[in-house]
Amino acid sequence: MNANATPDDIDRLLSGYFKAQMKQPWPAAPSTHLSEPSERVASPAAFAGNHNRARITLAASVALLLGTCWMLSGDGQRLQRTRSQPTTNSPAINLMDGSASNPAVLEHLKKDKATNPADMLDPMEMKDIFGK
Amino acid sequence: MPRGSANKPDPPSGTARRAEFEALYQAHSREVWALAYARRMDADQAMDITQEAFLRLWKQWESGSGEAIQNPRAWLMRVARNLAEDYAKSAFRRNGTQPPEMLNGVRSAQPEPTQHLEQQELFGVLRKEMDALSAADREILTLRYALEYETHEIAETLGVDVTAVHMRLSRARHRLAERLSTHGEFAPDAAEGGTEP
Repeated sequence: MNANATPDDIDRLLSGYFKAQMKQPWPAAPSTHLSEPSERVASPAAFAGNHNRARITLAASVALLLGTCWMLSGDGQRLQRTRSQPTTNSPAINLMDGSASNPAVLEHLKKDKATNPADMLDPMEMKDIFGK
Repeated sequence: MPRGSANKPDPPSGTARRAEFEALYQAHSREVWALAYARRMDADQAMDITQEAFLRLWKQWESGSGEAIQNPRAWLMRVARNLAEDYAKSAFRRNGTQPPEMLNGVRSAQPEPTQHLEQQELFGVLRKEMDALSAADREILTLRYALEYETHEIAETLGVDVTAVHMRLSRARHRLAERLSTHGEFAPDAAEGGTEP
């Protein structure tokens, strides 16, 4: 193109320019499926079912969370300790509650061990000593 | 031509609505693009604006509330015009008074690299000088050369009579040729006459 161009040249230039500017092939219409509500969401029955399941799941999750927290806290430990205490018929001696620091018990154990080392402390006797 | 249906008592099914949407897109998307292009002088931005305008039309249908769309074409053109203005404001905030790269986005199907570069350079000059024209000049040139509208179609689109279209088109071409002549591309006389639609 130059200054000696014919009058039609500007038409050709403009036509060519716009032809180059317009996409070939022309793009399709924008997708609209994302803005359409799905049938599951739009259906009231499906929505109610999903809603109830979600509520139950949420309640179970909260209960599990609270139970875990309770188990990890002192209450849970105390419960475990209580459950691990021997019954009156158990032959084992439980010293976990600090009875070993009781001078009377210690004295009794020393004396008993000196006279008959092979004998075990009678649980019933321990009960009398401990008062429990 | 498909018609807007946002105010129909029984809304069409999703498939029928999508078909109507596609038909509207085929009928008016190029016109919406041309309007946006005449304002932004950027093919990609014009396409973004076109797609956004049609998506807003769809959302307007989906919402089923608010303004009833009696004339989808006019509605789309108005939305595209507003979007183009919004683009202009945001572009000004990003770029200040300097426009982005003027030669970016010029597409051509020329197979020869040298010819391609020459044409790209020429199109870049043309784009720059068209950008310097008034919006009215750009709009009428776009309608004529991008959409290949006949005079009566341009008159109908712009809401003016055919004589005014001839006059405005001739003046726009002349002003463009004057500007191009400063680059040695055209003498202003080259714009006289031309191919009248």
